Amino acid sequence: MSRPLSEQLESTHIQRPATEFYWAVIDATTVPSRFGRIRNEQLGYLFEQSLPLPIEEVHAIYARIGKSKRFVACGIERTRLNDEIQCEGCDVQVFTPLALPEWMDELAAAIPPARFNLLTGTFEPSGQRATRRRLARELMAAALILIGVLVVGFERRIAAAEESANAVEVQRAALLQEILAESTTPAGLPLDVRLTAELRTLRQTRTNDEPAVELMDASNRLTTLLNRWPKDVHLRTQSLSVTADSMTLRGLLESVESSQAFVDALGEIESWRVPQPSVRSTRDGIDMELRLLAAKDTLP
Amino acid sequence: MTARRALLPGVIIAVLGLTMTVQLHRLGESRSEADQAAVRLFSARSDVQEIRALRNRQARIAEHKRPEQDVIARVHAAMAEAGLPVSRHFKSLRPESDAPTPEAAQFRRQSVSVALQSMDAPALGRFLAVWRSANPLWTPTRIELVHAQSKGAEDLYDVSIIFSAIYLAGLSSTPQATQL
Repeated sequence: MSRPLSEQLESTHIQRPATEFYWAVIDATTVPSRFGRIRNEQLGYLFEQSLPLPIEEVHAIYARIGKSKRFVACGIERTRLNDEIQCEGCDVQVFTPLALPEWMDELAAAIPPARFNLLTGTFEPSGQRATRRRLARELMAAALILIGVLVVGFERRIAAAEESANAVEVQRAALLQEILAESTTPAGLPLDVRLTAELRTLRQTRTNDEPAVELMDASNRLTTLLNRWPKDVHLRTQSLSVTADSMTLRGLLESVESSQAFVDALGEIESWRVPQPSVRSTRDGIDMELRLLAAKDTLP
Repeated sequence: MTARRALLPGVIIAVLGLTMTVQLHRLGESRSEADQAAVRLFSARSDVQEIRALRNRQARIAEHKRPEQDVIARVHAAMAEAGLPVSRHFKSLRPESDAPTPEAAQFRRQSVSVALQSMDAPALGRFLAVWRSANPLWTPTRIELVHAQSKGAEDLYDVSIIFSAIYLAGLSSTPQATQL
């Protein structure tokens, strides 16, 4: 037959009058702290000043007063605490004072006695300790799973990004290979270099701008000359030479007057000047050499 | 034991933080690489578009020096198209010069001299017209006609034409498949 609930609660939660504990209000404003945290060990040294025995023989617990650097210290001899919780059939889970001492100021007294559960550290009940350890293990496992999930997630995203970059590069390489198939650039060079070379070559050779170097087309000049050729004068052409800056005509005429007809006809060609021809009489007729000179602004 | 217990959450948080930092860094690099690849693709597309547009234009300057054989083939083709028997009218072809242009250092001027024989003026006109449309890069820069001395050659001439082309200096002079 099980025990009544009140009896069970009594056996798991022991409360003792405040007079059975050591009490002190500790001012820790001078204690150096890291990130605002003051270790129990540091508070213990301060508490020891109020104790009739060494702190090593006392199990103490500390509660901060509000948000100040003042603490209420509550302690009990280790041996006594051990005796209290070792009673047969007891399963003590909580060991607290019934109340705080009356001499404490209003702020300190506002701390509930339940905050001073002395079953901590080495006095922590084995069940609680096991639960806490299990919880810690579960949290650690959850953390590891979380890390694993994050790593997998990141790896997938990284792989996707790399795949995307590779696909784009493949697409780009195919595009360049296609356009450079017709190129005259050396096939052994990297595609980027060939692309730059091809573009530079085409820009230099196929631009719509006026080319840096222009060649004079002699056939145009020959056409111009022939268009102005006097039709009513017979000339047995011996030679005709057309260059960038001159056109030289040599042939046999029937009379000296005919040479003037050539000078008049060819002298009408724009941007060309016709000096007097060289004429001399030969056995076969009148040998004429006529030289047309291009005006300077017509030369390329 | 207590110290180890207190250290463990810190270690876990540190591992978590380190993992996050490393993975975020790697992800950032991968995404940056993907972005750069996309930019390079965009740039390549733009270049390819420009290349296509430029290739559709008429070349005004040759990309390479042309070998003698190539020019002979062009002369023969033009003569055939103009209806001039090559065996009767073609005499010779020789390289004339190959020198940098004084106007621009990146260009060179290549000239060849073509000798034709027994041609009358209309035949020469046909040949030059065909040549001009088929070989825009090769400009006849000098034309000389000398009356043929042979019997019965009243209106026939021996013709010497210098064809010149400008090409890019510094590129390989090996002839390629590209038609000029």
